[in-house]
Amino acid sequence: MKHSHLTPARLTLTLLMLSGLLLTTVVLSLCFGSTSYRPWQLLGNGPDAALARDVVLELRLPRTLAAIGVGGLLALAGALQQVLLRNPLADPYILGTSGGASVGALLAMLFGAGLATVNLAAGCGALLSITLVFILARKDRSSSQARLLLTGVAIASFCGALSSLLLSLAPDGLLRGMVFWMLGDLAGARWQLALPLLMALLLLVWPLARQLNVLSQGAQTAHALGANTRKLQWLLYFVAAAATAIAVTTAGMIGFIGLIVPHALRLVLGHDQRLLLPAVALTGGTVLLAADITSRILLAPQQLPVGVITALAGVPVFLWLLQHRGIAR
Amino acid sequence: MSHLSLRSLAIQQGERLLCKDLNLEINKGESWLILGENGCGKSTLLATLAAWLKPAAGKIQLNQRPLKEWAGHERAKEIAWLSQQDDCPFPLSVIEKVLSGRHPHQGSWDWESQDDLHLAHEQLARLDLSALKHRDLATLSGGERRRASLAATLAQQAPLILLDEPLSQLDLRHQQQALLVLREENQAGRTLLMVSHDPNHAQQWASHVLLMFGDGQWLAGQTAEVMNSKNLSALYRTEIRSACIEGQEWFIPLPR
Repeated sequence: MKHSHLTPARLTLTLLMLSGLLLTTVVLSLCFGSTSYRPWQLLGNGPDAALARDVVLELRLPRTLAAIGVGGLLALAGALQQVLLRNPLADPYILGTSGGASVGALLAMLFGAGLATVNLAAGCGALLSITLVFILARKDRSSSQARLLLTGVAIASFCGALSSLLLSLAPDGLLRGMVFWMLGDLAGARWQLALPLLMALLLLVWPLARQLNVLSQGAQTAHALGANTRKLQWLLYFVAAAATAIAVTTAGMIGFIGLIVPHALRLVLGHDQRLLLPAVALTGGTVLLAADITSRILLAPQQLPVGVITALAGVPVFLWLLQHRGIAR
Repeated sequence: MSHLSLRSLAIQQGERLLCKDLNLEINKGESWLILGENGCGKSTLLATLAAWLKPAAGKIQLNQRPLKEWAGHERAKEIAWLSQQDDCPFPLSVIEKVLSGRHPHQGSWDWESQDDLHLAHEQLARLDLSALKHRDLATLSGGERRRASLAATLAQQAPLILLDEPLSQLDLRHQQQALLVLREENQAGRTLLMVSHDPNHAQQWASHVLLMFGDGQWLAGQTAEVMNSKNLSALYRTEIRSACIEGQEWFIPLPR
């Protein structure tokens, strides 16, 4: 694709369009479900309208906000991880943050803990693996971040093995809940942490966007242009890890959003982080919300875990991207 | 006036001592060519002068101030460094690459100005890249990509420019064009250090030459004093003769 450089006008226009898309999806999400409403049915004074308002405001709105927060966090984490590892196909789960979270969550479930404790345990697990990877890889001076990547992948595999162990020890009664958690599910997900954190992290990294642009060209080039590359790389690592940890703690391991959303948007919009970072945060929410709507109406009244939908739709899209665009060299 | 001063500098790569006790005064407006075999430490020296690597021993002063005291954003306005790494795994157009050279001159919230854009287009025109400005770097040939990186380095407008083999992938016409551009940069008062594998670039461009022998030994001086077939034969450990064409001395390796 032919692309010239980014201008403030193009940035504003693109973000307005993506916001419009997100708002449309929000309206759809509030209206569609086991019972569907038309927007004007929510207005008025009758008992029907009051019931409709209750369903929409008490049940669908929190879930919708959670989807926007989690989807945005995963896509933002993926975009940052791709810059950090200089690999357009990196995934937020690649460095073991989510693996640690799932070990924590499954362990808590095995002991019969409630939702709040499970979330807390997932957060602790994520924190543990983030710290462990940092301690083991902090002396990495290679320009390709090879040590960080390999350390993260090794920790992720180890956590995967621990999770399998926990699943095989679990009694049948708990197994279903544990598997659902692993797949990623928005039922009962809370938005109160995910959405504000998404905004906070975006505001933290957006001002660094041009530095991330030069870092994408390689650590030596970034250094020559005055960036403090090591500080920047560790900041990226911790912001991506925090975003992943909160997303996974809120809604389990929802796959493919963090890989596909930044990768696909980059092909369409270009790599300039000044546009890409806010764009992935908006679009991650839109895509997860669309998947969530699908998961609610596909076999209604039964609800599917949203992670199943993202994986089912995500893998073909990913393979299609690979076929058509190839891995950049 | 001294621009860059090296005192008893030693550089090392792993266990190998590449250069020791290197003392150089590089003055403003000089053009230095660095020659030596593969692996003799040319790139390591440039990376050290760019403050990317720490010297094994010795001191480097930039404008009479120790290099390590310069903050990154200050240093980037004073030193431009073109390393050999110019692959980018992400989509990046030639104009975006060249505009990124303006990064040190912009605040966090600044956008590329009309002046920046004008400067970038100027560098593209000087290096015969105007027609390629919207092309993705990944679709260019190695030599074209190298010229795009050189254009980005020049757009940085730093008074001291370190160039690591900017010409080795370029065809003869574009080599001559780039040498002309570098000569113009010198005439504008900039100091240049360039690594090359072609000793004839010295005669065409350099005021001074540094020969690095890879075992810690080095030889530096004005081009006319250092460049002769005896020194070059010792440097490359193969016989090199000189021939005179139209009053100009050219160096040619003898076939074995």
